[in-house]
Amino acid sequence: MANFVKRVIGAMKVPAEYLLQRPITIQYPDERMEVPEGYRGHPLYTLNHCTLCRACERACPVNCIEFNIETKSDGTKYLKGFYLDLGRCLFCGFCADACPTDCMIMGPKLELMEFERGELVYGIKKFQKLTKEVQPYIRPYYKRSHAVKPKNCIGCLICVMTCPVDAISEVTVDGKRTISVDPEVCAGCGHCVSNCPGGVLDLVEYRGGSK
Amino acid sequence: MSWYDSALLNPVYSKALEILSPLITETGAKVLLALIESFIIIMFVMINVLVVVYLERKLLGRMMNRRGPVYAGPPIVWGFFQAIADFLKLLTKEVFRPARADPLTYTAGPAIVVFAGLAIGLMVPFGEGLVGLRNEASLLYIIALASLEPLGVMLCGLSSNNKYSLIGGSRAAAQMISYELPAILVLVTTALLAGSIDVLGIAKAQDIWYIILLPLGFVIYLITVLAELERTPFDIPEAESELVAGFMTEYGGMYYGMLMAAHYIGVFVTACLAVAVFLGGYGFYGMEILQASIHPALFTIVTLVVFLIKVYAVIFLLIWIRAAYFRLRIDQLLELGWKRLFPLAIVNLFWAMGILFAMG
Amino acid sequence: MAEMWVNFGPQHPFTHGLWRLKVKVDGETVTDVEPTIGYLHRGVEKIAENRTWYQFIPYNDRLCYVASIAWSEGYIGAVEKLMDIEPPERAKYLRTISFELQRIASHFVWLAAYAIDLGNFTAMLFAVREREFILDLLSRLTGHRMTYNYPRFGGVARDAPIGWEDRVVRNLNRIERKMKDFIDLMTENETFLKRVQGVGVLPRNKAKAWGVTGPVARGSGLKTDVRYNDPYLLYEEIGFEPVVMKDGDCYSRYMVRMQEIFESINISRDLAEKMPSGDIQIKAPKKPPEGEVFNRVEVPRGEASYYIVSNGGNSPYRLKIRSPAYIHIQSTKVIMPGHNVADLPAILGSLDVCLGDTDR
Ligand code: SF4
Ligand code: SF4
Repeated sequence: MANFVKRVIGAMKVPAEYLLQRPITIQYPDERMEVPEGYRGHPLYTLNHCTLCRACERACPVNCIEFNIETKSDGTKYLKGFYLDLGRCLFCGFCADACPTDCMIMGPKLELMEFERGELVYGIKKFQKLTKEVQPYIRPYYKRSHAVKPKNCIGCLICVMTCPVDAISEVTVDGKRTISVDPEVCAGCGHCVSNCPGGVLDLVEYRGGSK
Repeated sequence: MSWYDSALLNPVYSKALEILSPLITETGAKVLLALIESFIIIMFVMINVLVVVYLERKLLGRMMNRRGPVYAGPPIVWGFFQAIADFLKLLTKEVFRPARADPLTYTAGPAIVVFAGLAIGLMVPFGEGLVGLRNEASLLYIIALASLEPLGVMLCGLSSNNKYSLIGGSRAAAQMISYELPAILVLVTTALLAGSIDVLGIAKAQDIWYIILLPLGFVIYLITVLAELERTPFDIPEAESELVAGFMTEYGGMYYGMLMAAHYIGVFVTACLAVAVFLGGYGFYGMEILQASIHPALFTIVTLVVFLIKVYAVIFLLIWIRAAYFRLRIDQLLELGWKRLFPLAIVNLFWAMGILFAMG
Repeated sequence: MAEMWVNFGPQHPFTHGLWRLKVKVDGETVTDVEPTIGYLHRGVEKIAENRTWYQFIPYNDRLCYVASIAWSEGYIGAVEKLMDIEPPERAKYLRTISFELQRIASHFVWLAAYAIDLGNFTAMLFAVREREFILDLLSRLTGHRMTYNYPRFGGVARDAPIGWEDRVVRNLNRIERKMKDFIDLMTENETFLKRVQGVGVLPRNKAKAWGVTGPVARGSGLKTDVRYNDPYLLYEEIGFEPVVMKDGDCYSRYMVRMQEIFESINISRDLAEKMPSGDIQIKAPKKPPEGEVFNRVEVPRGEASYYIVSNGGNSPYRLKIRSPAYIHIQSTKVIMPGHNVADLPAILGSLDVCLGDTDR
């Protein structure tokens, strides 16, 4: 009997407890949750350094990327149109993984609703606008990194010049000019990687001394 | 007796009668004023319903660790106008009737439910002299009207031509027979103690609140109130997880709004009744001294406030219960009603008789 | 009332997805049920034949979106078997932790749905609230909140951010502390126990005969759990022991899941505390060699298995998915008849079906 009363009254305890506490909800349009670092939003075609390799197009499981590439009379290619159908996109990130130049990235934007289905097909104009909008938020996923030991470094030192935090310095090994990277200073921006003409630099994960 | 007899409205009433009588004869003026009075009472109940809706949403929200309505409304009571916004939205929606529903009963159902709630409000003593309709047998009238509400629900369910509604309606009927008897027995017990079958008489007879004399009776009454209002844990006729919305499935627009309003009117008036019968009505300790020392109109307001405070305490309890419990099954309710509450109500009756003997 | 057929679904609050249960009711008693599925068929198995091995990974997430990592784990594990590769140690840890976190998240979704099925909103919101802390961990790890696309052939897509392990321990400690709310509100709540105890009994022999797996089978006293019978990832080292309850009613299925939440919390917390450093991905071949493979994993709902035939080409030649919920939906036919209409949500909720993987 005492047990029965406890089982009936006991449940009343929890709501009363919470009545006196602060609510945990976030009032969405006014307050927003922090988007975690490295969040994989929608694919964002930033147009920077696109080599028109179409690796993203091939990687996409749902064929939602469409390139319209035209060849000029002198043989150079140029991008006439680019369409990404976010209505079909799986937000899987394979396109960003496949892109060799980090031109296709997964942007941090969350709110993508449109009134019409057709407006979800993003073109070059829209991506240009979006890129400007999100530029301050674009960060590579790896917080800290150090460059892979350059095997085929030609010693042009472009990376030393581009590094905004002076993490790369010039060293001479066996009479050959090469570079050394201080991982503690490196901000992981990836500028050196995208500027390296030999393509020998790469970002790897660096987890500090212990782990 | 009416609200016009109270010290608050009496001066206004005589003034209005004086002005109107030459214009539309005395009878005409009286009829007009009576109409205005019923309008005042309905408005009073409806404003309280707004408060009840707000409290339910806000308190339930806080009990669930969320905020409840926030945007529509003035500062401090954020979200107070949410109910009005909802009402306006329902008002603008299309009123439709399923093609093969029975037109008469389909419309009559919500009307009956709303009417039953408002009509009970007429008989409740809200404060000194604030009784809309004084009757020597008002408890009987209230019991009769209270059983009208499930009838309306049943009509809604049976006339919608929908299987969910049908099951909901039949559940409402089954529910009614299970709680009705204990509820009436408990109310009769209080009448027995007070020696009156007038709600005002019962309220006034409580030198010691009946919740102290009859704790068992109050618990039984609370449970039957929950069953009568179809609130958790007895929201069986509308059980949204199996019956979609139960008897309300086919109702939309303002019909739905009426059913919702009726629910909250019911919450308010049954809480009023519980206060009048168990918590000493608008009475409080030291009432006589206060009455002698201040202006009668002011005293009426004080009693009204005291009454409302008690009512909202009961409503708080109802909201709290809603946050804590799960919905029972109809057979469990029947079992509870007949096998537990009914015998306990009889025990309660004997207990009251014992008190009567003890007090001589 | 005469016997009649009532459709529960395809659009109905009770179905937890898109399917239909035709229920033959005699008044309040269910005499027969007839589950109908196929409303959510997307042809996932056929899609697999037209995608490369790599491209099919995100589709597994969408089989059951509340347990997406668990399903991709099944596919990845199968293809890894075929390729005969083994992920590095750290990747195994990350995959096991995310797998168990996913189980907690999925069980919280079930808990929320179960609470609302039985008519309590508070427990539902609390469960959703606690799930948020798991989603926080997973979104930091994988970059998404729902369809993670995380495991890869021979590793994982990306490494845990710095400080993630501490966050896992912190959030799981919080959840463990807050599980007390559910114990007070559900496990020790009389109205809840009344609804689940002795309801929907699936005896041991019937459970075996109908081939149910997962918490449903373990609730009926069958000690089946792929993590225990056929360990994969790190479960061998952990020394995993499944939770088994004997009665086979809704209550024991409920208790199995509740204890599994605790178990998963312990497993992932322990693993997070001793996570090794190292590589997260080994280089996997582009496509597996010719052959066929059968792989099973314990997704939150039971035993999921993948049967894949490869002809050495770019995409699977044939891919067959076995869904646990498909069998559980069938078993409604044995469990439900003879119960009350109001018991249907209680039983179905305790089976925890997911239509995404049932219809595929
Ligand atoms: S995110 Fe995935 S689905 Fe979307 S465009 Fe990139 S590859 Fe295609
Ligand atoms: S993969 Fe990158 S570089 Fe290649 S076409 Fe796509 S966006 Fe341009």
